[in-house]
Amino acid sequence: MMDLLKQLKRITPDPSFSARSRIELLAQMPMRIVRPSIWQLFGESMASAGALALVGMLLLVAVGGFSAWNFLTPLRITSLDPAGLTAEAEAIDIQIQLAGVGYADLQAAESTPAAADAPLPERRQSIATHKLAEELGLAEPAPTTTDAHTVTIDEALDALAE
Amino acid sequence: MLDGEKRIIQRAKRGEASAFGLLYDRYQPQIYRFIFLKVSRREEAEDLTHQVFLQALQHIGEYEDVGFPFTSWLYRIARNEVIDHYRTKRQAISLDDVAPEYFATLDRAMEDAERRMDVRRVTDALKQLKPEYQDVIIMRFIEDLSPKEIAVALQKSEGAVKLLQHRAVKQLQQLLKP
Amino acid sequence: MWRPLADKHWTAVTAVLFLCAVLLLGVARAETETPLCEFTESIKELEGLQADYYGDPAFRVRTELAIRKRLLVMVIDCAAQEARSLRQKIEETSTEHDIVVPIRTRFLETLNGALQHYADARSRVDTLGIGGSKDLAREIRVWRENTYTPTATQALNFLVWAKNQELFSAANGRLADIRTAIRSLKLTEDEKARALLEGSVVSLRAANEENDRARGELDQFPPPANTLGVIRTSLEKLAHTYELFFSLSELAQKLIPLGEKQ
Repeated sequence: MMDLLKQLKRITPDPSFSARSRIELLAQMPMRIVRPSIWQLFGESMASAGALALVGMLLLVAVGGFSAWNFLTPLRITSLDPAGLTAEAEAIDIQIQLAGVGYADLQAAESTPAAADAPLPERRQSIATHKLAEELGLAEPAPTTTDAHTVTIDEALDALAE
Repeated sequence: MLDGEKRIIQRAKRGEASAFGLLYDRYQPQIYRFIFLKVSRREEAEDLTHQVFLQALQHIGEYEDVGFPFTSWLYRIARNEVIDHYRTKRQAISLDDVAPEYFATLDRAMEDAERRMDVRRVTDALKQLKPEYQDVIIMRFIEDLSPKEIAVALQKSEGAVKLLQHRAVKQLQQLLKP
Repeated sequence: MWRPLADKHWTAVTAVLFLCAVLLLGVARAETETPLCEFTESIKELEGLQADYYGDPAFRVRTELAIRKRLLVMVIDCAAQEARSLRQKIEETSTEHDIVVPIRTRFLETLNGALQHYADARSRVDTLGIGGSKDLAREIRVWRENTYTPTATQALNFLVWAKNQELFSAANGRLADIRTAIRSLKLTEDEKARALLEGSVVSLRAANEENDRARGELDQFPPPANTLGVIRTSLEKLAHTYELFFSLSELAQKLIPLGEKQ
């Protein structure tokens, strides 16, 4: 198995890709006073990629051919279009509100000193869950008055267990 | 490691294009190979490899060799690029999806037909490993990185890497059982 | 006599208020008599019998048993409907994103298990005496507190998280497109553009990691208390990424002549 894995070392990149990629990368570097000549750069790449590959590379660059770059003609920056970004950002904001519902109450409850009659942490978590369920359309708002108190499933079970 | 690598890196940090070119020539094939074995598509491997070296170029000023080998730094960038790439794809690559040129690339590397079949089996099995296991196998047994270099690349301790390696090999052997 | 609930019971009480209300929303239209989850009158009836009845003890026992059984069946049916509604919401989640599927499947299986649990309990009611009905009520109560309610809570978190996956998919795709565009337009030669792009990569990576962490928490039982917090954090980091996208967009508009824009 190890011997077979070692065989994979023979996988190498396409020389024309390597040459083009190298040229593009090095073109971005700031120039020094002692500047290697363009032929010196080509010479280095020729040493590794071969002169023919270099010529081929130049031709391909001239016609704009290089795998993932092909589709960029004509140049498009729809990915930076503000309208599209806005729509996606708004969708995120809606989800943040949904995830924040109840969570904010939970955080506030956790961060303020507990009063003597303050709900237990488990109950505060439950309140957060209920508010989330309201937002998801799975719940009615919890009744706020004792007159309107709805007996819950668990309350009913407790009554039946007595 | 390149002879006088530290000096070459310092020159690259100062903006000397030829110095970075030397680093590129030295490490690009193995980074490409690492990525290719993980993504299986030549075009994607080329794009990601270019991206890795673009990142390296842009951040070489921040690189400091204080027990942090340059290879490990490059592999760390490469791993992150592959992870980000998969998040974009958001799909499991099944062997059926593997581009034909993946196997063509392997085939070109192997003269012997029987050997080719064996190697294909190994690469198929490699693809079934979880990403961390793939990383260790490729770095250790194909690219000959030391456990220390791998540990830095994976941001783990050497001990953790050795354990990962042991498990990865075991699982690969299991997958290769007839 | 029905005593006020101990504090510990509030864990489940408030958490499932909403689930009862689903029945009020969805089933009340169909019901012509007592709504499915309306227990108040029956409980009052039971309490009245226990407190005020002075007649024939045998008649009282029979009546009490009948009320208990009727109420128990109502409660079980209401609880089952609650689980059914939640299951329906889970079923409606999109399976477009592979990472959603196994968790969705697990919640559906768990809810199916809960429905089976309720069906089994319901089938036992007919043969019970007063003592047996109390035991069954207690048994269901404990099961709900320890098993069902934590699962239902986590299922709600899953509904939020599942919806987020399309947002993450959009963001990851957008970043890939932006990187390609920035490269092709040679905007990487601009230091600010490079910094914004790098910032976007780092920010989105952090958001993805938090999203993955939330997925891990959704897999755990008992569920961690702060899963919703982790989900929220992942969204906040995603929002921050878009702030950087907007900055890149503004910068690109400044740097590129109008004629090249599409």
